[in-house]
Formats: sequence, structure tokens, C-alpha cells
Amino acid sequence: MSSADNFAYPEPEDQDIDAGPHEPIPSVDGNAAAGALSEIFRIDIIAALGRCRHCGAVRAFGAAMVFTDAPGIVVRCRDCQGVLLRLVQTPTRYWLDLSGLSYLEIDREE
Amino acid sequence: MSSVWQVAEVVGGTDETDTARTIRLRVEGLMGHLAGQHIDIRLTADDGYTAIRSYSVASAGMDGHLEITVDELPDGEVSPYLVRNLAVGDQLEIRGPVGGWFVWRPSRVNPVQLIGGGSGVVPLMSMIRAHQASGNASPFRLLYSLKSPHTLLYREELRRLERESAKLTVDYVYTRSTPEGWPAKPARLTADTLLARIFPAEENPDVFVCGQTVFVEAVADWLVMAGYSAESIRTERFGGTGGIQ
Repeated sequence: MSSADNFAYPEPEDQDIDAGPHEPIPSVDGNAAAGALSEIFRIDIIAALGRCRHCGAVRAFGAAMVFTDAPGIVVRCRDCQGVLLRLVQTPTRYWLDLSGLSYLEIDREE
Repeated sequence: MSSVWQVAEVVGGTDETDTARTIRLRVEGLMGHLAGQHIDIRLTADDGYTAIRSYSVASAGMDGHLEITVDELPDGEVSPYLVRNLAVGDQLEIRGPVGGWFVWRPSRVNPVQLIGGGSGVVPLMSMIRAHQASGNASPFRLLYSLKSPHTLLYREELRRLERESAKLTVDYVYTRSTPEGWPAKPARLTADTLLARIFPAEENPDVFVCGQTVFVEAVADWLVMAGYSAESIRTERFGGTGGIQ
């Protein structure tokens, strides 16, 4: 929904929940990147713990913020909003930037 | 090039509400999945234009098959087609089920609090079904916030489980209109309403919250303020065109 739409119509959610102001750019959860990342990684990394290179927070990848309304997928740290991962796909290539993650800790049992 | 995309065949469907439909897919080689996972569906137009959308799996524990429940977005690119036009025998390109974080595993011993807004109940239903099918005795509680009785998904099954299952409790919060004779007036969901209908923080429930972004963020904030540990709360937001729906 564009910002112009927000002026034209009351936001329907407001009738349903006693919520404060919304995030200006909608994001979803780390889970939303699972399908795209499954093309690259044999192991499901959504349940993995990752350390943010920007602020040092260690969190489950699934708890990160995912922005999909873009030419690629951008994953940001929920604590500092720093970019953890960028993934762009072309018809012939993947471009993957993991420089915002200093490590991933992956459970071998799951 | 290797690909994780595969073809699934539509083998059945059930209307849940005026706008939502459960679609059963046959998926070659599928050996179960984790409750709470989703699939991605890719539609390709004749001119090569593709649209990918994510849909939570609603079913649990069916080898070779899975079910999704799709709620039609009025201006959606994909959901109206899935709800209105898809017929038995049609084929879809799918990826998954994927996602190992917003999932419930039968090995968990904590009580489970499910909080769903609207069609956010879909992955929570998968967890309820997996729990019912398992020997796991932990109590489950579902808080289901919905606009009106007409938008209620899984009506009969939830009613039956409420009657027959000692390990599931369901609470409904109606925000715009209620069933006839409902004891409360329709009202926006508030922190007080929510906290009165869920397992208290002291019982250390695993909490799963799914719904529109604004719903998930408000609920998660209330939970943390009320003393639920952030680590115990897992969220799934609907939103952006590539998000889970």
C-alpha cells in the first residue's frame, strides 16, 4: 500500500487492534527468506543463531527482519537494523552478501 | 541447474469462508513436515512473468500431501486465482515446506500459547493438528482474534476439538461483529483482553504469534511488557508481497 493510500483510507487494522504507529516500511520475519535460501543452503539456516557484525546481537535468523519489496531480499538485525544478508537472483546467478553476519551457529540435530 | 522447485498437483479443495479456501496438494516424495512451516508457490504467466507467494501449511503429518488455506486479498495478484480458479488436476510449482524457526516440535514439553489474527491462524492450526496427533500431553491454548464469525476458519474442527480434547483450549476475540448471543461486544483487541486469555508468563509457555504485521508487533510488545521472555515468543508476520500469507 502506498503512503497516498494511507491518507485516503483509514487503516483497517486499527479497528481490530489497539496498536501504536506502524513501521513505515513493512518487514516480515526471517522465515520469509527460507524458500529463497533453501535454493542455496542444504541446511535450513532459519533456525540457526547468527551474530550481527554491526551490534553483536546473537539471535535466531528467524527473528530477523526481512524486506522483500525490493529487487532482492534484504535481511536486517532486529536490534540495530544493520544489514545481515542480501540476496539477489538473476535468471542465471545468485548474488549473496553475508558480510553483516560474523557467524552462524547451526544445530546439527534439527 | 539443480532446483528446489517441484510440481504439486491439486487433489482437492474446501471452502472455509466466503473468501478463504483450503487446497489439498499432492507433493511427490514429501515425507511429512514441521508444524508451522510454509511453502512458496510460483505462478508463471504466458509471457514469462512470475509471481512468488508464501503460504503456511495448515495440515500436519500427511506423507505425500499437504494442505494450505488461502484467504483472498481483493487486489491480490495470486490469491484470487488460487481461491477462485484453481481446479482439481491443476499443477502448481512449489518450493518447500521450509522454515525451521516458526515451528512446534512434539518433543517440546512447555505449554503452548498460540495467538492468531485472522488467517494468521493457519500455521497455528498445523501445530494444533500435529499436537493432537502426537502423544505430547502439554496443554495448548489458542487465542483467535477475528473480525466476524463469517471469517472463522476451521469452524467445525475447532468446535469438535474444544468438546473432545482435554489438551486444547480456544478463546475467540471478535473485533467487528460477534455470533448471536456472544457474551461480549465486538471490540479492538487490547493488552488487557489478550493477557486475560493466555497462559501466564510464570508457566513459561512457548508463544507463537501470527497475523498482519501490526497485529504481530502489538501483541509481541504487550507480551514482552507483561514479562514474557523475548526468547519464548516466535512471530510470523504477513505483509509485503513476498511475505507469508
